[in-house]
Amino acid sequence: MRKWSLTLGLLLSATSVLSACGGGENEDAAAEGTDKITIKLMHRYQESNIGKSPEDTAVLDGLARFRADYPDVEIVEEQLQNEDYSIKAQALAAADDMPDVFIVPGSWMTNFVNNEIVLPLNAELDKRPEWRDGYRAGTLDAGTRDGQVYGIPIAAGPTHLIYYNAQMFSDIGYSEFPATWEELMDAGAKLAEKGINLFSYGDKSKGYALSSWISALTDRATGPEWTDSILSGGGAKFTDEGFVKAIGIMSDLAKAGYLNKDLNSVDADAMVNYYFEGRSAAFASGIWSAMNVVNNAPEAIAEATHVTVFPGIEGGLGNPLSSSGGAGVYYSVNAGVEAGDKLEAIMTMLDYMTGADSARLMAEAGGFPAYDPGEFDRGKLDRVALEAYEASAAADSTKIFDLWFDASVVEVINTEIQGVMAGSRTPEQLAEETQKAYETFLAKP
Amino acid sequence: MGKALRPKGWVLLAYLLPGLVLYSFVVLIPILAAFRYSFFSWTGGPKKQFIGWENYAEIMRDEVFWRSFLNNVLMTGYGLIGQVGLAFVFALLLMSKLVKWKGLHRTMSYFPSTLAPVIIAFLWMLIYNYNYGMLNSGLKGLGLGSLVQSWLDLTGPIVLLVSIPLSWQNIGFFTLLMLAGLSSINKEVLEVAELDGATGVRKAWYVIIPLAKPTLIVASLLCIANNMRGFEHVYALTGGGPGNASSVMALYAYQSSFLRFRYGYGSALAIAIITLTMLIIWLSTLGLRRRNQEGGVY
Repeated sequence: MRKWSLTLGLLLSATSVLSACGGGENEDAAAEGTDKITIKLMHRYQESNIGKSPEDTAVLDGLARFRADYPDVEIVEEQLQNEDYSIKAQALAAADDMPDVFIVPGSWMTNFVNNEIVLPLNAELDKRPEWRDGYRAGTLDAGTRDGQVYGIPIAAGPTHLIYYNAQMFSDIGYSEFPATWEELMDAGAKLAEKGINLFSYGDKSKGYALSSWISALTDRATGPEWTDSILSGGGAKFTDEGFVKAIGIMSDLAKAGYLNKDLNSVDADAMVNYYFEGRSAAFASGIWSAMNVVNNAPEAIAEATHVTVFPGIEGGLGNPLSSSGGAGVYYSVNAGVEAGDKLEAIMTMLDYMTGADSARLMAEAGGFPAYDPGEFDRGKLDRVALEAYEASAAADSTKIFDLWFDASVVEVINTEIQGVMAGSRTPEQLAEETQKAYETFLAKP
Repeated sequence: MGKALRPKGWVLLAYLLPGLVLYSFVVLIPILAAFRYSFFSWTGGPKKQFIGWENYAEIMRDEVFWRSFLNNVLMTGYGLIGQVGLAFVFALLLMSKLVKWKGLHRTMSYFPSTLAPVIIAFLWMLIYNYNYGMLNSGLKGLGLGSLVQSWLDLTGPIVLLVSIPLSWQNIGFFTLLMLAGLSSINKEVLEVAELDGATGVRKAWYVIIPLAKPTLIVASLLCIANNMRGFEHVYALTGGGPGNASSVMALYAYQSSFLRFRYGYGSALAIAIITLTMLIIWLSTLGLRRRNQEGGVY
């Protein structure tokens, strides 16, 4: 009896340990045993978003076409939601267990390159010059380090545009969107009298402020040289006047009460809904909101909606017509993939997913692809989407801070800006905290 | 257990082995690994750089971490009042003759404990909502329109506002715990107390509390441990905002590791959290025990 219990106990423990470790090995062995090329792909585009999101529609269509044209390449695909993707990808990266092809936001790129997680793609791209040169100027930049391209961009387009209700502005005497900050503050006061917020704003998920406001505003104040100097460690500081001024403008808007009061506790969806409900006269957001307006806004609001960008800042060094933009998210290849048939297949797949055909489809669905689609059928596009597309194409694209600055600096700005907008911190305090994080980052490369 | 019936040491060990293996696999080893990582500057890839105690030195200087720690302590304070304290009052009410439909009250007060923290947070997000929230429309209905706030945007009382849903969720659990403890008090003692003229508050203070002390201590310790490792409610309700105003230690460690890619520092934070929590629990056990013993003299 006793022997039995011992054997049982040992057996149980042995199975529990073995079953935990054994699973993975078997899978790998099976995959390598066949001649078929297997590509493991993990990304954040989802079947359920086809038809709703131009990016998901175009990328997944490209993947389907690739599958049809190359039946002997097996693709093990994992589709995850945005936030789930970030969590899973970071855990896999820390465990050095990334799939063959995966999505890398620009802000992770430095980290992934330093840790040798991603493969430089120059040699492969050089074999396909036509594809390589099809990408819009600057879209490869945030995925490039020291001249080596580590990422294939998907969509580009500005993270800052203003969608505004022209009817509301004309009611208070502005036939066009206010052209200076003085006029804008004046419009804010007039709208506030009617109980309408100038902008609706929703930064609960942190990151909205940096991508849709701070990047574009700072560039208007400091010009692109400041950003480059920050990125290269060239002496620019976050405590410099221009950056503080940009944050100060946002703080002024919040203090004056021209934004919705619950600005830190609602997310971007609620922000857009406030605009749809007529509670606000405008909102700042990226090109991705164009299709939201087209599909979901009440008819009267959609008809009155036009698209523009922030006014220039008086005495600012940047181009007042610019908008933070460029590609933000990339497909990267695992550093462990060796040159050969598999890499060939991967590159062809990425061409299908992000290249010319996919780009045309994305543009027709209302997106702004990184690959220049050239002429496409604009007739299919709604007026607001077309306006957003044209504003995007016209805007001089500047760097999106959350994609370029190191994640440790980005996090501090994301957190501090909430305090500033809530009135518990000053723009100067934000600047100091950010500078501190930036210096820590510079000290520990 | 008699010696004849007691299984041999190695048999006991063999029985425990599966559990121990699992436990070490999911608890002990990760903690030890975190301890090791805490000495590295590590951004999440194969490259790590040994930096000794540097991460810990940074924690000592890190205002955000200490603010989060204070928030945890504050939440624990609110928890002791709002969860354990109120639960005790509820339990007394449920024991008294004043309350009807005791079963219904017990079930209803326990119900929130069965919900996931994210659902609780979502519910309370709606309650606190500026435009459509129950709280604000209630205030307007009472003619107190001037008190209407965007509650979750307030930096001052934010920790209290986050603690309320937590209390709302846990109060049922602690009430049950108290009821179990109170029902073990000898009825005759209570009757005698009543005969001696101790009723209501006096009975509770002089008779029930001293007799229910062991239950109160267990409940308080559970409450402290719960609040020191609090994460879900804050994460879902405010994300630690506005700014860092409602940040808690676990949330900060999570952000450091997974949003700022500072895995080494995040590991050091995790170790600091374990140490601080154990320290606080140890101190409170010490305090509560001593008071318990003093009480025992009478």
